[in-house]
Amino acid sequence: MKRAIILLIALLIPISAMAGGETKQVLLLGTDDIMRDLTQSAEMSRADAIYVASLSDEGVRLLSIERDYRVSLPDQPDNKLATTTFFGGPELCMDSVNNLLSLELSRYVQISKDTVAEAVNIIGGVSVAIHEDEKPVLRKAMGYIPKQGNDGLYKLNGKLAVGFLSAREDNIDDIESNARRNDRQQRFLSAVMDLVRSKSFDEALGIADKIVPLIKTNLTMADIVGLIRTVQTGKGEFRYARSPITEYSRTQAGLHQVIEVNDMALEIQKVDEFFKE
Amino acid sequence: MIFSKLKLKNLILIITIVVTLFSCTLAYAATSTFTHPEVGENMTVHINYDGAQFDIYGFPYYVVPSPSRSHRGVKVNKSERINKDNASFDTAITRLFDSLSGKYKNFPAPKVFRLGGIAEPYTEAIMALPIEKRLEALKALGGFNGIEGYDALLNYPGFTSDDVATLKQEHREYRVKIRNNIYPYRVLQFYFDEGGAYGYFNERYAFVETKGRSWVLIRIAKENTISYAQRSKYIHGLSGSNPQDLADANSEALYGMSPGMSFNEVLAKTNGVVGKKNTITLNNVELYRMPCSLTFHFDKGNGLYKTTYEFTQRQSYYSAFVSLYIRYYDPLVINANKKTAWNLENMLIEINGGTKTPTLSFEIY
Repeated sequence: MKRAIILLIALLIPISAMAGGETKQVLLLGTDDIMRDLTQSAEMSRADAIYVASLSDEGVRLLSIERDYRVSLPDQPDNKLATTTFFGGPELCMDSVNNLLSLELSRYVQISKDTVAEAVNIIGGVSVAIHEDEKPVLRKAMGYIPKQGNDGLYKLNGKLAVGFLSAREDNIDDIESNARRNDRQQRFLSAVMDLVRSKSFDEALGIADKIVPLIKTNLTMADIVGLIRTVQTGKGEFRYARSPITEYSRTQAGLHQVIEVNDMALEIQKVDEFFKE
Repeated sequence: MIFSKLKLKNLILIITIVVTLFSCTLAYAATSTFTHPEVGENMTVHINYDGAQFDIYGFPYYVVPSPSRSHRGVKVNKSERINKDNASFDTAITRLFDSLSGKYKNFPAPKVFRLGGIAEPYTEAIMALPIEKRLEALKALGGFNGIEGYDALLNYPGFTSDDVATLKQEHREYRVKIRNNIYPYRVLQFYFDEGGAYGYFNERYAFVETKGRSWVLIRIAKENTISYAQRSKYIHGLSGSNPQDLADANSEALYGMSPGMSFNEVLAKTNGVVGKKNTITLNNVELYRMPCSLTFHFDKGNGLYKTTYEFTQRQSYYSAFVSLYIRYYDPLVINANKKTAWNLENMLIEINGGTKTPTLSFEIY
């Protein structure tokens, strides 16, 4: 019944918010488990994966944002970007990303580690490339590496996907470890985009219907319908970048080691160019 | 029948052993894992008798070695006890220097070693001295010999009269209060880099001056951080620390009130509840982002001298430990009778974890 309503809404929105060549940007957040803490009011989650997805008729541009970026928080000392979801939920994280990179994001999607597995199982698994040199760390995080398919990819069920997305090397520099993890995450997101494009509009909406209850988002139904249409009807180009694009330095914010880019204006310019190129 | 009695005896013995072991486990299982409300990260805090550690995502960030562990060839004594078991300044620092060649197991020779705090620029000059002179110079530089002691530095290469004048200007006579005794107190900081992604850390050696034995070691603390210059924080006992850096933390501790403020003034400012023994209580306040109640205490002269915060959860003991470390660095006494204390020039900070609702007090002395 709910799916039928969604389909009806889709049909009743001839020109969705996403149509007409408009570019829509969405903040994608992968957080750890949401629980309550000592403050008895805050959400106990940190953003381990922070992305801005920019969708247009050309395709998808995905910007990964380093979680260790130094950010200013209201009424508190500086902290790292990853903790913003803990202190103020996805809204504070979105404000921080906007302030940091001069963006105008107004929509977010937050999914916790617990629900990623469920969502991946709903879409029937995701096939990704796995590089030879990352197999040891993935074997540790996933338990085992699944058999390689004829297409050269490795199909991940929900549990394996969580291991794939969260795996990190502990014996290397934090920022380098984050970069490698982000590289795996963008491969995964790219595969999800391909999957959405391979489905019919009806099938894709059906999947969205099942996944929406698992996520926290301020996307409207019109946004969701529009996003699916954009991904499915666009040229399918997929580009990826990681901020900081420019040189950065390491500093300390409280107990955290954080990074600050050396020339923020240049960084903002490079990010802007990435989205527009 | 005899067999049954034996079996019963054995059973009782086994139960006794199990219960004893379980009790011991409980006694030493002073560990808590949670997201720290101020740091926003998942942390595990271990507080045992005279030893403490907290880890961020499983990585040890801050460690105070317990008296049972040898650290660079010395064992620290229980910090609230000061007796013959405390290593002397010369022993502790000589062994630290010995450890730089990898002499002690688990302490590899560092790739980089520097003196910390105001001593940092003089690292090369000090390290070039023979050990006896190195100890003397380090003692003088750390303010152990008082304001006149800095003059001796002019006998060593690398020190100018301008340096000595600046050191004299920044000198402070630090002290601490332990078991109602006040001791002169000094801290030396050292930076090590053993290589690798996480091989860098600071170690702080804290000393008190006793009447008969001169300066003795009371605590070692190790923390992983990339720099101190960026933080500009007050570390009690460390030469060159500026107490002005503590103004915000101390104001927070007294809920914005000032030491010596009158009962009526505090009452007017807080609109709290007047309690027994000349106290004022505020319910539903917050300290270090934890819910708690607050009681103001007044001395015979009717001046504010103490605040006590009572938290709502046992875990607050561990969370407050980290919050106090962030503000005041190394605790002076750790978990003696479930109490952990920090000391400033005129303030004793004590957190009591012996109850379900831990308390934290700030007492001006």
